[in-house]
Parts: sequence; structure tokens; C-alpha cells
Amino acid sequence: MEMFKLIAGAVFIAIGLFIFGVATLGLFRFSYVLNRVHVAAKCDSLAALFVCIGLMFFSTGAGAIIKLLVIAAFIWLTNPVASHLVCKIEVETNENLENECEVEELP
Amino acid sequence: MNLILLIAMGFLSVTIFFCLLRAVLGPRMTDRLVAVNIISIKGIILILLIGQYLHDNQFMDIAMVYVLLSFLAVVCLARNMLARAAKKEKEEGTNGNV
Amino acid sequence: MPILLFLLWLVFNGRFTVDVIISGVIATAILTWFLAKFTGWSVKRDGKFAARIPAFIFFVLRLIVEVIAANIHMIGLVLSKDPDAKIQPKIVKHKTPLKTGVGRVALANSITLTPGTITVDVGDGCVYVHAIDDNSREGLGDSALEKKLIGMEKGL
Repeated sequence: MEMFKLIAGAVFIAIGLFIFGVATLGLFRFSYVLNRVHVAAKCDSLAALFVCIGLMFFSTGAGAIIKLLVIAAFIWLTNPVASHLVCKIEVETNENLENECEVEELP
Repeated sequence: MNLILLIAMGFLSVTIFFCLLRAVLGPRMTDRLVAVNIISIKGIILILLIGQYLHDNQFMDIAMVYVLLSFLAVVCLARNMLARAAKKEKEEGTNGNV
Repeated sequence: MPILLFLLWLVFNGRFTVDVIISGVIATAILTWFLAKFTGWSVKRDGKFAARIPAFIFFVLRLIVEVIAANIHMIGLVLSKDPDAKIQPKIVKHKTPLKTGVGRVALANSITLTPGTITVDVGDGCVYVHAIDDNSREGLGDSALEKKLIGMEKGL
């Protein structure tokens, strides 16, 4: 049982770290902010969830597991809002937005 | 278990360093904001890993507060920048009228 | 809601002693009074929200599936040879029948988390969406998540 917990936690943490690595790589591969935000918003949320699940296998006690779940829920609530704010700033402050992407209609 | 946690912490630190590089290099202000957002989330995960490594559950409370504080930091910066952009637009408008 | 607040207090404390429970009851009573006075909370509204918990759990499970699909899509894009050549970014307007504020915020957050799209601004009866390529833009029209949200909003 201990062995199973160890392997399961290690696998989940490894998946999470791989997604974190992809998020970091994506910051350098894309050339414009609005494309970078895609990577930041999606990969980070899922990676945080995976690492939290991995840590649940290591932790002891019900309180720790519930706390990890609450932290993951907080990240899932706050990260999309932060990314959305970054997008809003970019759209409002960039004068030559049309050079970077097609714009159908603006708020 | 300790070895896994140590490797994870090392890898996370390296990725945080590269995010910091993006924050320094970023051509626009929003690039830096995105990088700071990613760094804060990685910092939360790093705190959780350190707490597990030291077998101390108090670190989870710190991480929970840090989630909310980092979100608040991004929101404050965003509001500040939006207000500055609106002010600049207004000034340009009055200059055009004169 | 008071029960939820009290459980949260117990979880944050991590201990189960008499002084913790007494201070928790006092804090919960103050917070409930505050909610009732400033945000219009009542037991009736709590019941309405409680009836939606099963639908909400299905929504969250569906959301996790969508996020995993989104991540596979993003990983494919990032690890491909020339990411900038493979994308066609575009800002589009997406009409939504959701009316309440909570429903629209949930829709905006789930759009941000589903494959290839991100919310730029929320307007009156519509959201402005930045889509990273043509496939994800076409998938926006008939998303299952939005249907689930509309079903949850009925009768609120």
C-alpha cells in the first residue's frame, strides 16, 4: 500500500511538473501576449491541480487533503480572472492591435 | 519520497528562473504581468512541496493566504494600469480639442 | 451557508477542541449576520442553491475533461515546430442567453479554460472572445458547458 501511494503520487507530480515545463516553454515559443496568455491560463491551472492530487497521496490526515482541495479550487477560481484582466489591458492599451490578430468586433 | 520532492523542487525552481527571465525581457507591460502570474502560482506549489518535505502542515495555511494575495496583486496592478490608460486617453482628447 | 462557514473554520483550524468550537460559532454568527445585512442572504436562497449541487458537480467534472483536452491541444501547439505559423488568432463576439451575473461569470471562466479560447471582455448579453485558431472558434457555438449553465440558471 505504501509503495502504491508513493508511485501514484510520483506519477501525478511528474505530470504536473511536465505541464509546468510546457507552460514555461510556451512563454518563449509564442511571439505575442494574447497567445502567451492561452498557455498561462490553461496549463497552470491543470498543473496545479495535478500536483495537489499528487501531494494528497503523500499527506496524512483528512484536514490536509481538504486544505489541498481548497487551494486547488482557489487557483481554479482566480487564475482565469487574472488572465482575463491581462487580456483586457492588452486590448485597451495596444493601439495597433490589428497587426497582431484579426478583429471582428471590439467592445 | 524525499528524493521525489527534492527533484520536483529543483525542476520548479529552474522553471521559475526562466519565467523571471521572461518578466525581465518582456517587450510590453502585459508580458511581465503574465510572467508574474505564472511565477506566483509556481511559488504556491513550491510552498506546498516544501511543507510536505518538512512534514509541517502549517505551510498549507501560508499557501492558502498566498493564493488570495497573489490574485489581489494582479488585480491591483491591472486596475492601476487601466486607470492610467484611461487618464492618458482623456488628456489626449482635451489636447485635441484645444 | 452557516454550516459551510463553520466546516471551513474547523478545517482551517485542524483541531477539534471546545474553545475552537465556541469561537467558531461566534465567528459564524457574526458572518451570517453580515451576509444577511449586506448581500441579501436568506435561508430560502440557500435552498435554491442547494438544489443545484448535483448539476454543479456534473458541470465541474465536464470542466475538468475539457481542461485536459485544452492542455493536450496547447502542448501539441507549443511542442510543434513553428507555433506562430499554425495559429490564426481572432477576436469574435459571442452571444449568450445567460442573464444573471453569476452565470455569466461562470461562462467567462469556463470559456477561458476550454480549448483555444479566452475571454477578453464581458458585455451586455454577449462575451468577447479571443480564439487562437479556426477550429476552436467554430467549437464555441455549440459548447456543452454553456447548455449545462443555461439548465442550471432556469428557475433561479
